[in-house]
Amino acid sequence: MGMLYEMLVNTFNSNGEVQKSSKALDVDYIDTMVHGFFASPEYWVNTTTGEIVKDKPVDTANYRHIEAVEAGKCLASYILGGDASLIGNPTYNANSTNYTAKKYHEFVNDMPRVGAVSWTVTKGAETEYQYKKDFNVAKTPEWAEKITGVPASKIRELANMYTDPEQHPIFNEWAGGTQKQLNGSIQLWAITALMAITKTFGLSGETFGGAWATINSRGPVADTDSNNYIDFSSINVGNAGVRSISDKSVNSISCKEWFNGIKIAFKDYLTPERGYTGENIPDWNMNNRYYSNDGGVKSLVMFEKNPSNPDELATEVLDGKTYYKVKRDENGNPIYSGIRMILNAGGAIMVNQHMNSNDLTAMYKAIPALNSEEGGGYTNADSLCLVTFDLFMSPTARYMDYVLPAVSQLEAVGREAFGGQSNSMYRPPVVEPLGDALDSWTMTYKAWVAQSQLGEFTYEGRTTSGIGAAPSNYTGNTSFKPIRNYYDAEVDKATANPSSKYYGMTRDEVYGAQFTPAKNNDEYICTSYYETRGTTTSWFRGDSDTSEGVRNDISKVGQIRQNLDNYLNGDKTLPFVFTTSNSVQNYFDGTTNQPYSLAHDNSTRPEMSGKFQIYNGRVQYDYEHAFEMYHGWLPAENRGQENRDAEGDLKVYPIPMYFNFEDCFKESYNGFNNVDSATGEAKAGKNAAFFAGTGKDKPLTMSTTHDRFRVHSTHDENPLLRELNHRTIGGGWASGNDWKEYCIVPERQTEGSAAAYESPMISSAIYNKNRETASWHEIWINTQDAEERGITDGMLCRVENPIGKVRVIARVTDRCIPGHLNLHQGGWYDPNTDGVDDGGNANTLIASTPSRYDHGNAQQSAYVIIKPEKEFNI
Amino acid sequence: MAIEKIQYAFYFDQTRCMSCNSCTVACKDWNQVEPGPVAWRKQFTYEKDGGFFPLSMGCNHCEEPACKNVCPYNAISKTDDGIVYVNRDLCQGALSCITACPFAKPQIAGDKQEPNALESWKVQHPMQKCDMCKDRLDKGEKPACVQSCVGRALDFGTKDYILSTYPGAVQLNPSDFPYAYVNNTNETKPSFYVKKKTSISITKASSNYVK
Ligand code: SF4
Ligand code: SF4
Repeated sequence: MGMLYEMLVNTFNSNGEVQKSSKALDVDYIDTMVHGFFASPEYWVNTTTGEIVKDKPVDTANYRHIEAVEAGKCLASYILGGDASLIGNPTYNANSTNYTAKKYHEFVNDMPRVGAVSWTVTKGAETEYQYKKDFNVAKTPEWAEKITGVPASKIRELANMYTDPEQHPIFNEWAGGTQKQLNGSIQLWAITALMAITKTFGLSGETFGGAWATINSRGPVADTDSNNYIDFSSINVGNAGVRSISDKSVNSISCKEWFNGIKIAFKDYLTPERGYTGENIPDWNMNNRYYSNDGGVKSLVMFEKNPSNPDELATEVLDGKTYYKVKRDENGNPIYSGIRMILNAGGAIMVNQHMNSNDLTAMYKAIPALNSEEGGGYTNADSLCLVTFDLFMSPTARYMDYVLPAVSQLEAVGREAFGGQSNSMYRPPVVEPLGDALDSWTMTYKAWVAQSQLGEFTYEGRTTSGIGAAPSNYTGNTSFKPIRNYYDAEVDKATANPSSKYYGMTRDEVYGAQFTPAKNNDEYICTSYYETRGTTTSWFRGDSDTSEGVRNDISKVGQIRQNLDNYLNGDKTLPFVFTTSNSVQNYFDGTTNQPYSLAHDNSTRPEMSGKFQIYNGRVQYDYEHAFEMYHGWLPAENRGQENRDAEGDLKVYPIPMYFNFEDCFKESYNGFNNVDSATGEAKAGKNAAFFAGTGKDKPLTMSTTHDRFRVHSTHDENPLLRELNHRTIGGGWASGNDWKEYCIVPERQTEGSAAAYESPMISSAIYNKNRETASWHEIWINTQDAEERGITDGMLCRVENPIGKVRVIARVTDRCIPGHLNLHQGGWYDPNTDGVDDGGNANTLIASTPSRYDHGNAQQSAYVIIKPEKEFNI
Repeated sequence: MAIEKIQYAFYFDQTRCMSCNSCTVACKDWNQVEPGPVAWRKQFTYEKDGGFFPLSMGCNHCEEPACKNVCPYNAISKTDDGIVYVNRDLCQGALSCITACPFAKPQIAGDKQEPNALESWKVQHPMQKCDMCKDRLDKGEKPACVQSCVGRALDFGTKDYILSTYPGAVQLNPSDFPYAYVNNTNETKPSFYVKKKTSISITKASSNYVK
């Protein structure tokens, strides 16, 4: 935002006239290609010619309606704090130099580009939200400096770099993970907005990068000469012909809300009597069956099927609108389907690697487990069944009903494709799987065999075709072959082919040497095919499906840019035709791209402009209407997703903004005032005091970085890796030497075991207070922050917030910015008897709150207090 | 014919190391050093003058090894390849090497890390340190740390090879790498050549940052 401010003030003079300089934005480009940075009127656009008209055409067949962007709601207004005089009150006027601006002027005479901020703030100056107080504050580099610690001069320098054509191409990449911050999807939206506004796209080496240089940005350009790589594309497992019958009477939702799916199914058991208080979700109104207003979770009740078509749901009309017809029990109550069984195929999601481990485990303990006496066995759907594949008996496995053996990385068959490449490589297993562990090929084969034996089966009038559906690589083979045989056959072809670069090699040599080469090393940069691959298709191809956006069809980006440069160098009096439909922008909004947005009718859903969508009304619309058709069981005001915050203002806006982190944490930790609905009186939230701390009690932001010494939570128990980030109290590097006492739980639990350590914890050294060997995970803290809190390097500290508490050892370092802590994610959850997690699991501190726009996991953001540990004496 | 003596040496590129400690772990794994504080090679990142400087270092097989010269039992020798080798059977625990080495590379394990003494040892925990993976060199392979280096920051070879391949590298010395000299600054002519990281990598956060 600070960068955009700098650009804006360099773009207009005090009379609002456009300036041309290396520090100025290209306004003709923005008018042509960007929607919503400046205000624009409502208009209709001809999808073939690009011509725009003010009034609704008589025949709208070739037209699309584009919503107005109010002068006080465009991004430029937000950035200027609504003060258009900072840039001389610019308008679209008679001097405008491009088709779009001239038309806007024609529709609305001398239309202002920017106006006073017009977002509603119900409580006015009384608002508790800092971001709303900042609506009328210009987002200057100095404003940004105070938040980020990045010097204003640096922000200006960066801004000037982005506007200067000489400095392009600029490579932009974001690390996967940003989207897992509390407001991650909005940050990505803001970053891509910066790219769009500064014309940072479409040149070789320059793009809107996706994570990990995968398909959406371009890694090395794959060599297409098949003699240079081995084509394994014909070998795949797929679903191996296993058929299932999906039951349409229950809905499926985003996997990220699985924990909430358990809550809605089993809410009746989540009671204090059964040990569940919900204390780790401070903002949950436990009168609701579910936590947070998520449309998907609210769709997890059962529905009636259309009697004449079992693939469809029956509908009913309520309050004049059509909803799916809810199935009800004899008392007329909806039947909550929720989530009752989880088969976790990989990872330690269900305890360790998901936000709020304390809440998850408390929840599991309160609900009858399938294999418990109360659970009643495998026929009882009113019990929770959790199954996981686990190799290491991780904390997640400790809470599951069934633990199945998995193959390790070294035992697994690998078929992988890398950054921007379409060709896959084969990685043979290093060792054969042990015991009952199966590679995925063999496992799916066995599933297919099992289903073949079952034959066809029928469920609610629908029949599978089980036995006829053999996977293609089995067809024609009289017996099962390990997957390696299929790869070997391809390799043998290559080694016998004189024109292959693998000619004459042994199989092992090929497996050791295979790679999918880049065309040439000079192209080992992000590339957008500007020169090589552009294809011209008509503008506004297809319908408004946003998955057809520019970003998903990267081969066209270079062509668009080329056309655009030609256009901007010409007279610009005709509309620009830019070869493809929709917006590069909207992929990150997390809602426009999801298919579950089911409103009663979509006639009011805003259309995409075809330009980069900085203002995107569809984001807001889709948020508000997500899963709405499934919400007939709820009171009318509770259908769809409520787009209201605690003060009655918007939660989700159609432009990217900066939401102050304190605001967000106050929401999820219950730090704002609560208005008593009966008396109307405002009372300080339960955890307001947490936010009031100053000096050493001031909370710090915390993110959950990836450790270099393990993979997420995998290998936190591996002693050679564990000692690299665990330390004993006051001990130096690699002083963590608890490996002979750590993780011996299974051994100790074996009958007749002579294990010397008694402990309900994974770390018996900590439980038994063996100071010499007890070790804790490191947390990184800045020198200044440590000093202020009396924390020294190697000190045992407690980190806590209203969600949970962990004990960790301080690593005092200037490599962590002031005001912030880094706790590597993946420490094994190991709560002690005092309720403090001695495993240093970052998720113990992470709220269940989903991220704002996309309801994704927000596992990288916490706000915590850190202090020397005083209560735990060892 | 006199055997021509060579000097093997390590090379480390401070600008490439990503502090992953693959070298540390590969060394422990190959040389069967159990988990615990003793590690023949350690990678650590030192903070100095607002910058941070990784260093992956084991024994430097010095041309003039301080450790060797002070051992009263002649347990330490220098091979024709320039390897400074400890014969653990000869060590009687004088510990003089430990203080003599500027880099504290000779190490003594505790009971927990080394629970089972060999019969041939004279003391429960004789001194141990890097031997340049002698056994691997004999097979024509590079030391485990070098082979495992993810950042391609480590290299190994004769001193001549290192000097000709990496002309910009400097021999380890106390003024450029003070953090390496944890015990003393005795001149031992370490067989360790480093490409220095000079840029300061930390931009100090602005003091206007609101706390
Ligand atoms: S680094 Fe230390 S232990 Fe190694 S040879 Fe030199 S003085 Fe001896
Ligand atoms: S393996 Fe290489 S990159 Fe990793 S810490 Fe060691 S020297 Fe550095």
